Amino acid sequence: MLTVIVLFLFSAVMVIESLTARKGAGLKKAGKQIKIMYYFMMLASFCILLLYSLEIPVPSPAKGITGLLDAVFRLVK
Amino acid sequence: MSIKCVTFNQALFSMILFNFGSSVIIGINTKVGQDTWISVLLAMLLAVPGLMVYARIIRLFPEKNLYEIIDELLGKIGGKIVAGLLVWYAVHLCALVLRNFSEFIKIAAMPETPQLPIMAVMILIAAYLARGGMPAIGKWSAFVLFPVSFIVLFTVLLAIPQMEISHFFPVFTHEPAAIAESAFQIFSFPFMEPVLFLFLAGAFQKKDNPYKLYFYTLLTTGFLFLLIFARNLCLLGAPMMEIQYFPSYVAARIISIGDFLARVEGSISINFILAGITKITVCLLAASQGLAGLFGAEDHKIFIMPVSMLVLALCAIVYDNTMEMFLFIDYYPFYALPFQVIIPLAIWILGEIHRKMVQ
Repeated sequence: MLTVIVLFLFSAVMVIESLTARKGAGLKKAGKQIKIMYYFMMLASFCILLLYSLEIPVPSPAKGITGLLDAVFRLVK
Repeated sequence: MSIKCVTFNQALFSMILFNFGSSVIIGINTKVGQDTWISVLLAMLLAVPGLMVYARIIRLFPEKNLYEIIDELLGKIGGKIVAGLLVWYAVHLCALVLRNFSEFIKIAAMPETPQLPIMAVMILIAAYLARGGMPAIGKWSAFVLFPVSFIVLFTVLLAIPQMEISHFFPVFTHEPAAIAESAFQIFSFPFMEPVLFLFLAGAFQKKDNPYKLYFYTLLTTGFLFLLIFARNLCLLGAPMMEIQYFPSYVAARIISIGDFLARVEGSISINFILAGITKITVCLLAASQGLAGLFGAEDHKIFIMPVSMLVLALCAIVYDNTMEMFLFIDYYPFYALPFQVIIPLAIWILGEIHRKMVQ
């Protein structure tokens, strides 16, 4: 069910984005770097959400941050 | 950058609602029980110099946003690194706030519903609002702040018959170190979070006083937090308040006037959602503005949807459960310190040097 929601969400977002692009506010006039960043972010979020919906564990940045802070404070102590 | 200006009041209201944001759900740190009011006052005192630094940065570079300021001070490469760090903070904070809301809705209202649709609906609303830029947030905040404040005052007034003032005593039962630690947490979350408004400072008018803006925000939110804390403490008592994940919601459940007015907690949920949408939108806008600056885009709108989707993805994986979310709050002040204090302090010092050199 979650996978269907993810697929539906991204299809809807891409349709809306392409419609706004027609009005001139979108990617058409953007530079190469912007386009690369745009598609990278979209693809990365899609992959993460798809893995999440399939219950495949994705490492959380919060664990990395807490681990790093623990290590720093252990060093300080 | 293509953002239009907002009035002083609109900027002030959006900043107050931003501060109110997720703190209205999770509440301020209440680890020192009935002594929390001392921590709040101490945190407000600590926040004054920090917020004055933010205001000074805006004064030094009027009508410029943070990316433009950093770019001018640190050059292209240094500017991009620092701006990249702040963009990460905006994206991560947005994901944390969104997760707070989805956890709250799951626990309070929809325990069987998966969190993803709840998060998706909220982020899409915020993305739509962010597309309107700072003026849209300003108008939204002007419209929303009054119902939000009214609900807080309304619940406090309704709670008066059930309040136990004795819950405030004994005072100073906790060690000064514990009170100071709690104050540090409140200082970081939420008082210093308006650092993200530096990304949107280009929308503030030159004639508006940024010192007043930050100071009034601090006073208003500080007063509201004290009021909320007093209501929760007098209704629940310190031990009960400390163990609750969402003390405001639990306190509101107790409120009832005779047989005709009960279940006031619904109004608290409305507050949570209205203030939360504002905070999420500001974070989205700040991140989009930063990315637009980083990649030289003419319009920040191009990055709103990718940032929204990234926030949604990050929000889904950031915690495994509610316990983890509350454990991370202990780490948050240390994690946020570079973004809230160290980087702005460095920008301010460099800004002063830059100004003298230009003169």
